Amino acid sequence: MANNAESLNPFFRPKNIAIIGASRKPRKIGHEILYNLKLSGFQGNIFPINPNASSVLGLKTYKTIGNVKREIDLAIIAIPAISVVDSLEQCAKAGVKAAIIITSGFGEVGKIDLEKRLVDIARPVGMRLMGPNTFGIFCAKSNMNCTFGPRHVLSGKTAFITQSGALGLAMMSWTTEENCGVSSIVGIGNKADVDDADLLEYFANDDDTKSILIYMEGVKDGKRFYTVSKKVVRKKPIIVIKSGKSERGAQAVSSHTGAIAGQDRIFDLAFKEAGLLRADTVTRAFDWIQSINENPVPKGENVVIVTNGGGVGVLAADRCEELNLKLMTISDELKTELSSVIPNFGSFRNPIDLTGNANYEMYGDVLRALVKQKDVNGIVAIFCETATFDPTQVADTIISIVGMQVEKRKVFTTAFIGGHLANASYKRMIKKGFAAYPTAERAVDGMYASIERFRLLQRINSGEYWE
Amino acid sequence: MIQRITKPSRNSLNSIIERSVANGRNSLLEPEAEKLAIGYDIPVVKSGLAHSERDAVSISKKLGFPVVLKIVSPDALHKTDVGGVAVNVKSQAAVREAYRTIVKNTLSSIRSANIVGILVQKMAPSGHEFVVGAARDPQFGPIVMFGLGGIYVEMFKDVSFRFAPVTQNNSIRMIGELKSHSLFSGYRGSEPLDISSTSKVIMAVGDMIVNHEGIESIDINPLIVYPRGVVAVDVRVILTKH
Repeated sequence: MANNAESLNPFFRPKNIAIIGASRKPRKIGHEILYNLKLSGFQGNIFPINPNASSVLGLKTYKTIGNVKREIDLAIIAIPAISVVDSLEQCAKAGVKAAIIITSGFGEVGKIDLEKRLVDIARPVGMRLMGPNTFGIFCAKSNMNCTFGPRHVLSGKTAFITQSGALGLAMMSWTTEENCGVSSIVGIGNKADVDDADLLEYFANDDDTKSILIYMEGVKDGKRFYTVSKKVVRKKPIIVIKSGKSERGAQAVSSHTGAIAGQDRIFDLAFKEAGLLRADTVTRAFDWIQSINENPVPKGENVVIVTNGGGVGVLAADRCEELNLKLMTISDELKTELSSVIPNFGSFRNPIDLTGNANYEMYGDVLRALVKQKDVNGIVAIFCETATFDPTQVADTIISIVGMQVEKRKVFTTAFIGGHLANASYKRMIKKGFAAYPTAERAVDGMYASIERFRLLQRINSGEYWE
Repeated sequence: MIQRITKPSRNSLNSIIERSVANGRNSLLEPEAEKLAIGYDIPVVKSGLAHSERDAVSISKKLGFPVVLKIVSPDALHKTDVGGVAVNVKSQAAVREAYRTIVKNTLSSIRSANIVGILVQKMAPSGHEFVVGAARDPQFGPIVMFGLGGIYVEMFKDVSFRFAPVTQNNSIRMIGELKSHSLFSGYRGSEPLDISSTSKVIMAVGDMIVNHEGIESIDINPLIVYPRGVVAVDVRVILTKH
């Protein structure tokens, strides 16, 4: 449905935006959205609609949307619920292409008929609706922050679709805090019109989006979500956080199948069958995204762990086992290679333990040897801060080596474990575009996401996925 | 009196379901559910419907002892809960006694219960018990479940799912996804269980729920699986509410 995706363009690439309810008073939602939009460097025109003022934040206001004699791509509606229907009718009459309804007090409080009226106004004129009950949209490419959230959002490669406003707003702050940038953040709200499947279709064709993260509480049309995500996941990884483990109502409990197959298990099945990665925590979702965004899709599943700490190496190996990741057996060829770079080194097992005496030169030599190996597909490099090992020296070594691995499609995740030096190092690595983490287990989690991507593409290429 | 195991036509199966829905019933009676199963080539145990103690005795003589007696009543969906099941009944006298007990138990649990009869089944040889089921999800449509069966289904929840209809490869994967899958490859020297017959039942249950809109859910529990062959001992079909 190319048409469907196209009809969402005005939400992300508008030229003219009207803000209905652009109040002069700071802390009013309409005011904050206007403020953010101006501050974000939006290049198009902004038309504040406010019948009671002549200007807001230095911009000329209009009494109604009908008074703006320009073609409006996007209207943002932030006025009390009681006036939304009238306002939306005016938008429809004025030929507005899309509207974000920030206002709450519709389906989420049981006013389903009122919410349906909004759709009934929009559909006949081909106007698309986001919300109601949303915090708005951020789009990095358009320098557009149409939200009442944080001012500064880091641009990046992930599109985030969220049904939770609080999580969306928090995510906006995390982008800068955690160096995990976004191409867009969409508050999907009550999904009266635009739903997850629509946005998946849109982001599938958005060149600035490499991966898609969804937070959902439920879907409007499960079958469509399933079919669409199955199509989109071939192009881009989709990670989903689904809340609500509540079981289905009493109706079906008379059968075992009904009782066990609670809604959550069916969602799980749908995600699994479609090839979506379901994260049980927000942190895990971020860890996965980092690796997926910063790494190529590997050519196989062979993972090697390199560590200077035996204990954390074992923890990492345990996590691999838990996640069904394959720790590669070190080949004779690699053993020979390693013994030439690490003198007096005894047994070569995986994890490769360089012991506490390791320095970053030794690390560099081992990593270089691993990168050359054809059958190594993923490297988890764990750096523990020790008296002989200053993690801040590692970054440059790694950067030169990893430059080699990208061509060879190897996945690289790193963990920097220790105090503030380790902390600063992993953050620096993230800034440089690496999948870096503060613990070994999380570095393995990141690796898992990349290997899963490989497995999914294998599944898609085999017949199984299409059965 | 003993149900002849001939395969009913698709139309006659639909009419069983439609008739029950029209009568306002929310489930099929067990003999009807068994007929449905037979229509989909699912092996069921031999049985007959008795309307009197004498019937029950003559059916059990033809089937051979031991037998199982089960209440058949649209009001008693949970047969065990109302004391409506007697297993391992080994003699004519025991059949008579079981018959009386079941009727008495059912009526004391549900005073106005409409008793259609007592189903007399040949007792299936013991084997590993599994569950095969199907249900309709309001969002995603019909799904099929396979798992470790018997009375502990909901305790262990060792189950796997697929959307219906289920392909042969997927039915085999469903078996492989159980924690108890090693029973099928021969656990600790025991003979491996019949994967192919089990897979057929999984597919058949998926086809059943896809083909008949009137079915809300199906439970075959237990499906006894042997090294060669399987048999459905209890088939429960819940109908869609109107």
